[in-house]
Amino acid sequence: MVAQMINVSGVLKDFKISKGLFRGKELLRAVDNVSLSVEQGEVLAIVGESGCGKTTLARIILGLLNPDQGTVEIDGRPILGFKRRELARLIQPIFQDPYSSLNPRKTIGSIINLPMRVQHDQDPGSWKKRTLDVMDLVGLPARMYQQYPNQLSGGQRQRVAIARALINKPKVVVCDEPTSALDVSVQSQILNLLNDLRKELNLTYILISHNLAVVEHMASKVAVMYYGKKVEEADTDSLFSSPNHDYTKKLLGSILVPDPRLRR
Amino acid sequence: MSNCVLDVKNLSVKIPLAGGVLHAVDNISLSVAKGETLCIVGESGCGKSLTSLAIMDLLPKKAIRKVDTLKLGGTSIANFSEKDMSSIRGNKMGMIFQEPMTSLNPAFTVENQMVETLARHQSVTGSKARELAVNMLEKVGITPAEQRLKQYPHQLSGGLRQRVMIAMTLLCEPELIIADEPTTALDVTIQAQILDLLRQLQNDFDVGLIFITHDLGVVANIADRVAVMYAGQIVEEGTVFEIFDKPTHPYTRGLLRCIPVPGKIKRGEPLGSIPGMVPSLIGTMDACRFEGRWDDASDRKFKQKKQKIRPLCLKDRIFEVEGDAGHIVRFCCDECLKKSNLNIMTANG
Amino acid sequence: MSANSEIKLDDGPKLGLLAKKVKGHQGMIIGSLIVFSVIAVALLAPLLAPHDPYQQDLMKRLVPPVWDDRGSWEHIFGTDHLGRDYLSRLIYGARISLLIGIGAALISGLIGTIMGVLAGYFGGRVDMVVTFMITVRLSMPVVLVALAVVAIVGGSLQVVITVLGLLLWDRFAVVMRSSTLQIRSMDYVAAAQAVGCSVSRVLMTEVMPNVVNNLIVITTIEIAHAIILEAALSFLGLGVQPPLPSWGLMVSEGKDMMLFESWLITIPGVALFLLVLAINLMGDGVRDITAPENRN
Repeated sequence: MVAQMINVSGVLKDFKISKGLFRGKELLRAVDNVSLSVEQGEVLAIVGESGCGKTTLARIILGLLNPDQGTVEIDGRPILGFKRRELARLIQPIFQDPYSSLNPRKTIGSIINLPMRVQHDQDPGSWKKRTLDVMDLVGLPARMYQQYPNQLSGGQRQRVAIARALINKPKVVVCDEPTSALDVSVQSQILNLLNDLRKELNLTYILISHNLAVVEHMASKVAVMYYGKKVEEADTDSLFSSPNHDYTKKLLGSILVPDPRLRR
Repeated sequence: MSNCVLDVKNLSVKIPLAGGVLHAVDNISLSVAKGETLCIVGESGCGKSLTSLAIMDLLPKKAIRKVDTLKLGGTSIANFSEKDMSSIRGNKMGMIFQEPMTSLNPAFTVENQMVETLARHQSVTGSKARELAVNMLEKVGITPAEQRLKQYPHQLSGGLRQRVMIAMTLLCEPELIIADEPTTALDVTIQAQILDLLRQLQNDFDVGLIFITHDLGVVANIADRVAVMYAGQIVEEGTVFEIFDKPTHPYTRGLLRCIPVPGKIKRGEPLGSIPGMVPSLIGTMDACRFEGRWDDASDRKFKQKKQKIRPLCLKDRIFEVEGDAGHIVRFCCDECLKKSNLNIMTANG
Repeated sequence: MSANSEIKLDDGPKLGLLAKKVKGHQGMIIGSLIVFSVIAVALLAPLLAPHDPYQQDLMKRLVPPVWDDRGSWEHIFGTDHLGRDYLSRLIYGARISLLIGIGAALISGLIGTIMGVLAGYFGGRVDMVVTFMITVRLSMPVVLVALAVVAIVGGSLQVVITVLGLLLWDRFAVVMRSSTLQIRSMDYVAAAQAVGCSVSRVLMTEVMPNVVNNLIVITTIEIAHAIILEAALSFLGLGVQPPLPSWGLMVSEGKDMMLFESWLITIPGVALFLLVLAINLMGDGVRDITAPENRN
């Protein structure tokens, strides 16, 4: 029985939204009593459209936001019990926008080795080599070590983000729409890279996406979110072949297959 | 041809930059007929957006546009002044952009903006204009239309705003609509609705539509004809069936290999890919644009078999696919032609 | 154009990116030359000034500058109503202007930046308090408050620097707050937090380097602002006290003789104008050059 790597139970998160001058505040329920779990080595996809709460949930799982109710456990321990730095060794993010996930003022090398500096890793003399090793692992040429983000393309920047996430060998990676901002040909390179790395480093992924074709290719299990609630969860093949919830059916029905004979 | 809404021949756009001249669009030709949808598909930097800006004469000031023929509905607009062009834009030639929040003026109501369009181009005002606006909003599926007229853009969702944009574009009964990634910023369920709407409206109004996108799924669902752009050139052009059934140019084949399609590849198997990156288009363009981007192993696994081609214009390396009149392929250099390993028939077949 | 576009287009001046950089450089070069000259003059004042700026010579009152028929090379810029050499006073006055400008900007910069960055980063109650303080400060008429304080405490160089430093922090706070808010929403800040960076580390290594651009611009504006305010205060008699050769005080002392001895106000007036203009040009240039977009 493989241990559950991530266990989300009854998570709830509200945001106060100002309704304008003198009209006070209103509560927006971004995540409404969501529970799910991910096994070690698995890829769980969380799908939904804008406003469904998937990004908020991702940040809660990463420990960047605290839920108002409910708990998140990683490897059996609740994340609130971790210190910031300990948690960072276990779970790391890859964000959607390659143009805002890298500090424009820092070199690629210093962006990637930030985790090592923060964790006070031993043997600072080896840091540069470790950085170059991980750059090689994600397909970045060594000369980029001294370059700045604005000299790199979108696909290259995502590779930098992946390198930064993996340099301290976490157990879980939360990928928030990792390829939505990339071209199709770059997307396939990055998805292949993510798959290879998962197998090689024995990672667990939580993949947030609105692109069902990508989800079908990458994930073993899918959870569908709609207005903050989890409306359906199933393994990928079952979900795609026999969806239960109406919203899931609607989502699946709006997939545009690249085949003109199968026009809607 | 009275059926031809847009005719473009040999359009080039060059932009002088600090590091050299950017050859953004390199000698492309295209045409759109009444009631037809032409999809221009390509990835970032291929020049598809600049092509549409060139047609509308909305290029950045530094850009240099050269074109042999640019005809809208039979009239040449290649040498139109800004004044002439601005009376065509929004009128005979409509535009829909990706971000409706920035193309709708957030300071004015929907009604204001629609009525202004009518007043400017069709000299219709007052209650008659309002009536036309209401009718059009209903045609694009916005009900209750009266209520929405009074709202501001920020009060509408993304999908609604795009519908308003579409309604505004159709108000003046244009001959041609150019839509640049109109559904990219929308949710998938809304995207599907907007595409259905566009198809239906095109039928009703018999308007020519240029739809620019990077999403081949969208192309398959809405296009009649497809032009694939890469590195400033149209590398392949044909009907939507020809492009998807018989992709001939290595880039088109590469693109189709890359897309994840539910059920097509076993989970965990690598997706097809196009290795490398788009080359820089700045400076002299002697080098091969597809250098380092071949993936023969992946291509061999690809189901579509390679077609035979006939030369149309050897100087520009333009060929026609055997048996498909109008299905055209273009190569940037002789290397590409050789490496693509296609069977080249002589002109006499 | 899609947000992904690899081609960055610059729709600015028609002569191209190169010309734009040169144009920017020109302003900055001129500005920097003037500023560094003034600093050099201020530092080397004892060596450069032909006379003692405080030495009075009642026999040689109101001698015109050298370009007038009645002027002489002994007093290149003439003398004032007490016979003091104007050029020497101008040179020593540079010290005062610079001291006040930089001193006040340092104090107000420190206060405003801390308040603005903390408000932008933490939001919530911290932001509410800081915004309230900014609003209160903005509703105070600076010059009147400065006058009142100086009237009570007495005018002197230190008082003027302190008062201006405690009053001019609002623009720093507003600009730093909005810059920080913008940076706060960037994914690289979230990534740094996820990596385990402490709050202070995030502020120092992720936020500050990206708001420093705006800080430079505001600092140059406020230095210039402080210099002008001091001139105004001294002009009104409630800034630096005579016999200190503050340029504002020199204008004030010369205003009664404006019609016939116009050099008494034009010379320090032009000096003030040039210095403030130069500071602004230099600040613009530094900002442009250090912006990440220009790195290649």
